[in-house]
Amino acid sequence: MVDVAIIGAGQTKYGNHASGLKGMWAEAAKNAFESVDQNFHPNRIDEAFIGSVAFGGSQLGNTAALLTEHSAMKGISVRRVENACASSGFALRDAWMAIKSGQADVVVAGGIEKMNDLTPERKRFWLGVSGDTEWERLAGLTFPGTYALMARRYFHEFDSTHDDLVNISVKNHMHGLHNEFAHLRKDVSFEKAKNGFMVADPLTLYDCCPTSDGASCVVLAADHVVREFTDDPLWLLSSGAASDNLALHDRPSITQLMATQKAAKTAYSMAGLNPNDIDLAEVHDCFTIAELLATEDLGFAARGEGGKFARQGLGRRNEGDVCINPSGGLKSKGHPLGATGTGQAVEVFKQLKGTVESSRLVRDAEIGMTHNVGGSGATCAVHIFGRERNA
Amino acid sequence: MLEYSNWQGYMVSFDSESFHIFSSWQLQSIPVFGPDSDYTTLAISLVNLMHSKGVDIDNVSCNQSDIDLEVLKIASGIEVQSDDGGWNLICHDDASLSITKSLDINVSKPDGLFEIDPELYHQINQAWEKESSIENVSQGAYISSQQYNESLSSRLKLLAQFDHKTIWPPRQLNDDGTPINNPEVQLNRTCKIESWTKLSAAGAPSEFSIRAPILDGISTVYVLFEEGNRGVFLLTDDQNKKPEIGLSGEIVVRKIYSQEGEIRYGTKVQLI
Repeated sequence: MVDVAIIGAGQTKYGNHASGLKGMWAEAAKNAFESVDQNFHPNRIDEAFIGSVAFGGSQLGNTAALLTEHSAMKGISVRRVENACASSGFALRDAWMAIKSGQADVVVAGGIEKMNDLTPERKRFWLGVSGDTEWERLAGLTFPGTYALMARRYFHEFDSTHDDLVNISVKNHMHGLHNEFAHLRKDVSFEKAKNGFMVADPLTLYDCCPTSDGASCVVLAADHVVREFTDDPLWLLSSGAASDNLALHDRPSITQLMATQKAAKTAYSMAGLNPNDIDLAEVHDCFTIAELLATEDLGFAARGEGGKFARQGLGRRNEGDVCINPSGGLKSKGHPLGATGTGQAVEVFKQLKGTVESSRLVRDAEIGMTHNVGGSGATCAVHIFGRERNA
Repeated sequence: MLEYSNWQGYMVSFDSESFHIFSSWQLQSIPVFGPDSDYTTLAISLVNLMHSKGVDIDNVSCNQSDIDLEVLKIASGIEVQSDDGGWNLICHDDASLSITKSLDINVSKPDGLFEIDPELYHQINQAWEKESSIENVSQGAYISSQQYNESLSSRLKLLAQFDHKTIWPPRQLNDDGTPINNPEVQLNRTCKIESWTKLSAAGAPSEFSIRAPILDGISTVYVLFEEGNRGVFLLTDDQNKKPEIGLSGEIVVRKIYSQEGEIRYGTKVQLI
């Protein structure tokens, strides 16, 4: 079976962009191409998968064809991948599978979202399209409400309070402070985060990620061609993915995401690793409660211990066994829906290759993970990356 | 003098040949509709009461244009006819209606109606008027009339399927890939709150963006039915009540929102 390496990765800064889809994608692609160590020309790319919810007021159909046309990939086989906020996590998986299958040698996986070119009313429309429309939406729920239901139930079932979520928010803002690509680069105190504007009780503004513009791009290569591009590849050791019931009320529990558990189990098994082996993880913290649940579902904390994990600061950079969201996560780095999954891979690529800002480097990291969730857990993709080909 | 009692968030009284229902709200001593009620929701609730008392009613005479007869039929199962000499559905000038054998009725207003804030009443009515305009195009997640109607009976009557266990909301195929029978099992209308949230007006979905600021946000509960199924619902009449995990609620029919000139009715939870 072919092994798959990441040879290049790049992104735009997340935030409010003056440029539109074409400009952002071109910037991310250019950054990815230039990050390849040697001899890379985009004419080597066989296939491209680009994740997007198609949020903004631009090209909805045939998005990928438009973007690749404007980024030196004209003529190749392309498609847009849509799985809500996990769109590019699944684009990455599709790219990995394309190489694994032997049908392609060099593949691009990426993602893009333009979210801030809309009026508030239109923005609300797009923010609501990925939850369960038939039942949850008619019950007044958007994602802040959905995750708020999870949070309150979690506090009821386990030894945890909103203060645990505040700790996650403070940590992620601290991690993102020195990330030049982050949307919200600011230190946030515990008191400020604790007393933020109530969005969906018990979640405050500081529990919620921002809506960001952004694009991200990753270049993958098959093992038999990888040396043409780099002597120091990062290996994509495994890919796990799963889905779950779209609506919360159809799930047996709302304090765990079964799709995450299933995807993680596959990814760990395929890589021959376990949670203790992971040095850093970019997890999907669209809301702080999502990170808390992810630390349990990914195996970093036992069931019901996620609050304690956050309280004790075990996910802080260079303080615990695993650094959770060294980029600042969705909370600080930002969340341009379709770009988030491959944006997480960009962070892991740079961390494991040691090319991030020195002030935020996770020391001695060998193994990294990305965890990308669609909606309130209906879809999930988990990937594990390693410095060594066989971890 | 009629004796009134609470029923699904309304006030009701009855004898063997007449049933009366009032909104729980009044303005300057005149019964008025609450934020999400109208004649249709009152009628559905009153038929539910009659069914619960064992009254055999499967059709009613009604010449009122204020009632969505299709929704009434789906939610309560009764056919509406122009005049059959049986039960008559009569909407009164205030927020009340009666279903009686006789057209000659004299109903006294119940005591203990809640006084609604005049400003709130005025604003809510204006909001519904604006929202119900055919020109009001919601920027919310769009649910077409066809999609809305497809699940209406399961929504309004809480009709569930049975395939080794109770299934609600309805599904298509079971785990073996076999089509599941049509929904025929009615869930018990009482439920227990397992979680809840209150969305700020700014965070409420677009469909509710006109009314949410007036109501200071909207509350949603995640509930467990006695049959073991779960659901999410908006709270109704919760201006002075705060939900808690473990509290009981009752599923009632209310207005949800309006789109393209059509009021979308649905189920909400009334705290008990």
